[in-house]
Amino acid sequence: MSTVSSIPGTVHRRGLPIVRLSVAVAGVIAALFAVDMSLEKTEQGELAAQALRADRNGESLLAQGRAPDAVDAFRKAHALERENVKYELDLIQALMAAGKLQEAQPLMTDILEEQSNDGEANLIAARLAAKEGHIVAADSYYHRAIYGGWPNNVAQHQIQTRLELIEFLTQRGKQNEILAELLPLQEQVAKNAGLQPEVARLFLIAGSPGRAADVFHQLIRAQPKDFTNYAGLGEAELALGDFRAAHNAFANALARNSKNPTLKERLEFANLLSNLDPTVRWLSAQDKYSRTVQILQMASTDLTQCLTNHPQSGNDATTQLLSKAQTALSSSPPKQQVNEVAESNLNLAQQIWRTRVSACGSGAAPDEEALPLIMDKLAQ
Amino acid sequence: MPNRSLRGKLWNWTGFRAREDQVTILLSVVIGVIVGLTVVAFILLTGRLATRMYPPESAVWRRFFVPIIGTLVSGFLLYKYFPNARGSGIPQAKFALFIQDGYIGLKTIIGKFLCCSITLASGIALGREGPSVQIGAGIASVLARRYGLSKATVKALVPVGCSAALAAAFNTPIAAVLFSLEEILGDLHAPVIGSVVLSSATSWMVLHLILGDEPLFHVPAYQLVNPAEFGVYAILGVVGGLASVCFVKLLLRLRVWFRQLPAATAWAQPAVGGLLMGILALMRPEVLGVGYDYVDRVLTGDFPIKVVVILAVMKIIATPTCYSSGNAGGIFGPSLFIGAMVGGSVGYAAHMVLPNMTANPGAYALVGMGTAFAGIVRTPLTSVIMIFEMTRDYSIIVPLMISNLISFFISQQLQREPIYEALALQEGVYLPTGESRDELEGIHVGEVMLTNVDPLPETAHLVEAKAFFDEYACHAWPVGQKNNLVGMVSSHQIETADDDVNVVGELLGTTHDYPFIHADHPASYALERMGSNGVDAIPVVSRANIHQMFGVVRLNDILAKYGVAGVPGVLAK
Repeated sequence: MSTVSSIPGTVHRRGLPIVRLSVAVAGVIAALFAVDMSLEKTEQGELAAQALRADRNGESLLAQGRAPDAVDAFRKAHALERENVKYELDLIQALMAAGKLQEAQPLMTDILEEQSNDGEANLIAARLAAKEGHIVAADSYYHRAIYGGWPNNVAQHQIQTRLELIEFLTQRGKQNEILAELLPLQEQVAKNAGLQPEVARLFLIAGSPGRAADVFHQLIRAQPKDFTNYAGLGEAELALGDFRAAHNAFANALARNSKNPTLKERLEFANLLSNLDPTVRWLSAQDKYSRTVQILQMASTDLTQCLTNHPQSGNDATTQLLSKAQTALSSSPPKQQVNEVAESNLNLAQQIWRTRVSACGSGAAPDEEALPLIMDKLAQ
Repeated sequence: MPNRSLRGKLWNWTGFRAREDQVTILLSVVIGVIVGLTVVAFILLTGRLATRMYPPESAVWRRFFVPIIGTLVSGFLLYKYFPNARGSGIPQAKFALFIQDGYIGLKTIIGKFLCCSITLASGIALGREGPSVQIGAGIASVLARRYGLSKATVKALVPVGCSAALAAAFNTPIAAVLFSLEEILGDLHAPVIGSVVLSSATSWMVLHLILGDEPLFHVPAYQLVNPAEFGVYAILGVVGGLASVCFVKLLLRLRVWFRQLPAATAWAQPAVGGLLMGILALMRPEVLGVGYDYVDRVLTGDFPIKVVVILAVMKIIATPTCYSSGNAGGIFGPSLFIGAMVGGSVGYAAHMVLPNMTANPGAYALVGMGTAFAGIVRTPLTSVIMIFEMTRDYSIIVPLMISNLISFFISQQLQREPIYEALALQEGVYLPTGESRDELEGIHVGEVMLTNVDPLPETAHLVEAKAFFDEYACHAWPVGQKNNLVGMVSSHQIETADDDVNVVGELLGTTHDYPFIHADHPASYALERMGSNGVDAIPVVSRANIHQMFGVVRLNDILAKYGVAGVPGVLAK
């Protein structure tokens, strides 16, 4: 049906009735809306499938070490599904692997703005900050990751993240911080026998051999046949300066795994230290003196080698020290003064060791590992 | 009749007939909804079709054949069924607004939607935003006419549809409003501003409802590294301006060339664009389509400079060819692509020379988009706001303004007519532009012109012409017929004519150039035209056809309108 307009100057005098026209318009709107939603749903499905394919391709490329190609694949996945945080995090990790830290940073900032409490996002932010050399920021992000939100296996993620943080701190020699992380970790993994040896090993690195020894003792009680627990205990005892106990631990380990060459070497080493240790009770004065001579000889040789490598560290004081040591080594004391001379030798050896540490650091070659351990024992 | 009575009551209740302004406001919202939904469908459909045409890891042959087949199909449809759906859509919307009283047919809307979907899905280097504008204007026009609104209201609703379309197509509601006022209407203070804003906001909300809150481009946070960067942005403005001029001039010249080809080849001409795309796509597939994905990559600064430069050059060649050959599609999207590539190239070069003083090339690509838009489309205000809305990064504004204004200035100097005006001129249509807005103020020529007058016939004898001048009290008059104006003749020419000249037609030059004016020009502009041409009467012609005379405006009539006495014939020479 048509109608006639009464207003002057209308373009079309004939048109649909207003009500019918309005209903038709509403129908068009509804139809268009339905078409749009259907198209949008199709698009979302297709884009999600494409993005997933691209992401998997990226993961495969990254695993093959082809970081730049992986970046392209992850970039495509991210472009197709921008709201998918996993794809964006994958892209950031690939960019980090490809060395494109500057490009990764803004993406990371964007994610953290929206997901500031996300555990995984903070973990990757920590890795990025670590790669960029921002130690404080990395430490902070690691902690946010530990206490952040994880979709599942929360405890497992927290433990892994803390272990990664400890590894990060280890690389930077932050012993106190490592210990601070290890204490909660020890509590967290109390029922996880698989992680206990790792915790004990980390206690050793953190300079807490007593705690390490405790953990190994517990492990030995739980798994008495496992030689690794004895070996670990041996290392802890060495660090504690109890060379006899270390010798026993290594001997126990070797008894459970007699063909292990490393264990044999460590047993011999513990034996060497036991034979060098001048602090053992009931040692005769002569034996003590001869051990101090050996120690002084080792310290003197060590400093000489250090000065050869770092001649700028040599001065009159070091020359005097070496000269004194030479004199002490070449003289043989009367029988009644052996004990005093032994003490004097130890004092001189410690002075030489301190000089050596200030000139060349406390690190020692594997074959000269005995001297630092003896010196630690003497310092106790 | 009860039915009629009910209708009457309903109209009274809605105030439909009495208060058309209120209906306009209501209709603006409806237009915003329908246009928003249509443009979203257009975006999704072209995207999905393109994925079907070029599936991931698809064979190389597709890149060559799909554009050719697509353009042949759309070329046939355009030739046979939808001749008004060719081209961008912006000039067509302006034709509708200024010449056809806001009329755009439903067939044109359907044709535009269908042909553009085919063209864009087949990878032709044209954009979807221009066509969306014509579709939006068309929907507004159809709705307004169906509701039986007045001519003036139908006209007023055309920019409302344009604004809604652009808001949805670019996800830029403010820029859409500005574009409708700056480019379509040429008047930032147009009285329809309320409706334009309303439809733009409604359409944008529809877009967000369906597609979510994703910006068109994803840009890392921009930072000005060093104040010296402003100098680099100025250089980018120069380069962007020159690239824009190259683009526009190439497009206009190619279009002239294509228009000279036999009319019978019109259906096949779009395939020339398709063939070029096929060849270019074999070398670099990134040139296919509008290429927003690659713009995104350049914005993040992760594209080798060599590829960026090649893509800029390819697109500057491909888009004018595709457009001029008669394909349906716009130049907005390609402008942004070219701008991003040009900006990226300048950014890479600057970063190589001054690595510590310049930002990532992505920042330059971002500014470059606005630069090319300002240079090609010549809407500097819209381009600044559009880039700001696209990126949502306020800190980019100042470099963007510097670059855009330089590009705009260079483009204005080297290419006098803006692209849409130039395209209209090629069609023989004289459109008002933002730049010519000043010409349209004051008393209009239409108010003072003589309408019931005829031109002098070419065959009129000189004596008759003299009598004609005396009758109309002026010293110059148009010659020809009302529908075929050929020139003007003055009393001075008649007085100084050779003895062997008998009729008026013999006094006309060979070029047939003559002064003219349009009815919507202000009277003051008519005075200027009279002064510069030395006449005291000037023909008032159609904007669509300058040979069609609507009337004549005389100096004395204008002076009388202004309330001063006429100055008898001092101008005619």
